[in-house]
Amino acid sequence: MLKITEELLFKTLISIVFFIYFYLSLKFPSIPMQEGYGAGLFPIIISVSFFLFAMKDFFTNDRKEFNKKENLVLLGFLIIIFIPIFFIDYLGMYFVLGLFLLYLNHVLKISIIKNTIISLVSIIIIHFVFVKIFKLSFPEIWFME
Amino acid sequence: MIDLLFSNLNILTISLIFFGVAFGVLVSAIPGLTTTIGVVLLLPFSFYLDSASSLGMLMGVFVGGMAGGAIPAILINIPGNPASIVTNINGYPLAQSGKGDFALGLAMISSTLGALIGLIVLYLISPELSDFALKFGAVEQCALVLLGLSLVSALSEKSVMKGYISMCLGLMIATIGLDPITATPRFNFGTVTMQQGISFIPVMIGMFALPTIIESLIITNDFKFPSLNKNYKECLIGVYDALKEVIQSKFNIVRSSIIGSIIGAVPGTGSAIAATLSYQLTKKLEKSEDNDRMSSQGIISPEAANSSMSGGALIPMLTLGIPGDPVTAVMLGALTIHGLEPGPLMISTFPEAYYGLLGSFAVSVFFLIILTLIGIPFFLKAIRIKTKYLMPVIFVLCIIGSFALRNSMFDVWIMIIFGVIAFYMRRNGYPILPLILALILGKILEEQFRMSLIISLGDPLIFFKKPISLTLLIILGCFLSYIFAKFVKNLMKEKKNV
Repeated sequence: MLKITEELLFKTLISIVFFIYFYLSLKFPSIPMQEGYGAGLFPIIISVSFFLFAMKDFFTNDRKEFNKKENLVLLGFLIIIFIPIFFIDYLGMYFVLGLFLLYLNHVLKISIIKNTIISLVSIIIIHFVFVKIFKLSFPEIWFME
Repeated sequence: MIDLLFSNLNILTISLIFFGVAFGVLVSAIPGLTTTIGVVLLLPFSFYLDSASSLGMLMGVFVGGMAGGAIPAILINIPGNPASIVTNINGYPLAQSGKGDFALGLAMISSTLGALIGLIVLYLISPELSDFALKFGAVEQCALVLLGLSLVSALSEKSVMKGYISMCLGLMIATIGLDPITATPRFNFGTVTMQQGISFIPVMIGMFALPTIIESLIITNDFKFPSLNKNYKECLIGVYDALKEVIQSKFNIVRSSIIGSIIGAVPGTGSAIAATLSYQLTKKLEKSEDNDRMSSQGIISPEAANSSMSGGALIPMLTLGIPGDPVTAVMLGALTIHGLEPGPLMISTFPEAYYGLLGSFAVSVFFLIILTLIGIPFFLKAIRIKTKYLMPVIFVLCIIGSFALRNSMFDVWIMIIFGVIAFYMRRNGYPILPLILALILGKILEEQFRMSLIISLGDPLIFFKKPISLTLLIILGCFLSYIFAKFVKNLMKEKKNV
């Protein structure tokens, strides 16, 4: 019976990417034209090479078991990272960075008081170094603009 | 030429080089962090500094990082970076027997001397190789990039196929955006942002730094460095004893450093191979009944080799534009940020930048000597900081670094997505370096490949008609045949076992 492992899922994902890439490559001309070969030639060569290498790799033994707990931690991390970044134009860079610092310090089991102090100090240092000295312009909170 | 070495140095540059060396030693001394992460973290500052200062600072991290990896290897038996993979074999027992200061002194002094010899090799060989590389046209450059990528892909991890798959993924990503010859938009899904292509800087930041942060969330281990139970003066006595021992082992230092420089110059080999090879050679050549002396030689040899590798690794990056390891790949990124294009023309087009980089290397080695002779006790206190306090700050720096490139959140998305991809690649044995190098060199490879076909009016045999390109392709053919033969041999062995 086919056992679902993390490596198998990863390989399947790579294969899907390959098929999409190959399908899109075929849409560009690869025949000789006045200015040389078309834009599709190189992607097609890459696709063929990739297919040859992946064929061998796909059928080797999968050793890495699917670890539910570890993948859930990663999923949680990604959800907490992606949502604020998606709304960064409304939330502002400082708020988003502060949120990430608080979250990561919390996950890494740093006490609430230390967490708050580290996060605040980090944001202040970032403001002085990148905004005041290096003149970087961050996305600001919508009501500040 | 000598005057050009130090013409760019001013107080800011010198201070930043010093900071870079100290930062490099500290970063690679903390388990879980590597020299590459150190260089990646300081890359965002490159946007705001002049080229001499930013490259000097990154060079400092490179030189300091190679030496710092020995600290956790000796004190807690965990190599701080792959370069120190064999240092712990002799270093840890020495530290256990109360000679931690002596072992650290041996490692750091050998690293410093190794880096110095690496710099001399770089200074002597680079101009010659660069002159030779000036003969390279589109056909030769295409063959050279192909050879470089193949070497990196095949040598970077255990599975050659996984290395090549990683390389192909990098080449696929490199084709996103405008085609280099006809400017046809490709794989951009109709968006203007994707039309510019995917910059390799956020990809590098994400792929090198983010997996470490994600891993720290999953495995929340913290390492405790033991105290040497010695005061500052006693520590310094140990370091000076080490200096005497290193002076007596001059042949070992020179031999190991030359091995390191040569191996470093071959793309994809890396510091771990340099350290292991020179260690094995030392074990065969050095015969002594004194166990302490043999232990010392076992620390001196890999440390000299891995630090001299930094000089060797800069040779293909500066003269051919092909970075051979992760740190030189990031440094290539820093060079391009400042509009400097590494390659055969670099020495003649940007002599100040080229010799300035070598000058920064020399100053970094000088600071490493000072830090080694008087700073080891301070480093031992500084590295006791817990890794968990650093990870959130590193993540925030990754976001700012990616954003600062073009003031665009698109690059932040790219950094996070590629960070997650790298995390799964690492877990499943796919090397990251071939993907990054293919992303950097992919555009050059395609451009030169299609230019060659235009020159030859579509005849692919042009690659076999030019002597330099033919030689490079023969080397590539021999290398691939060797890999194929090894693969068939393994397959036969597996079948026999079954």
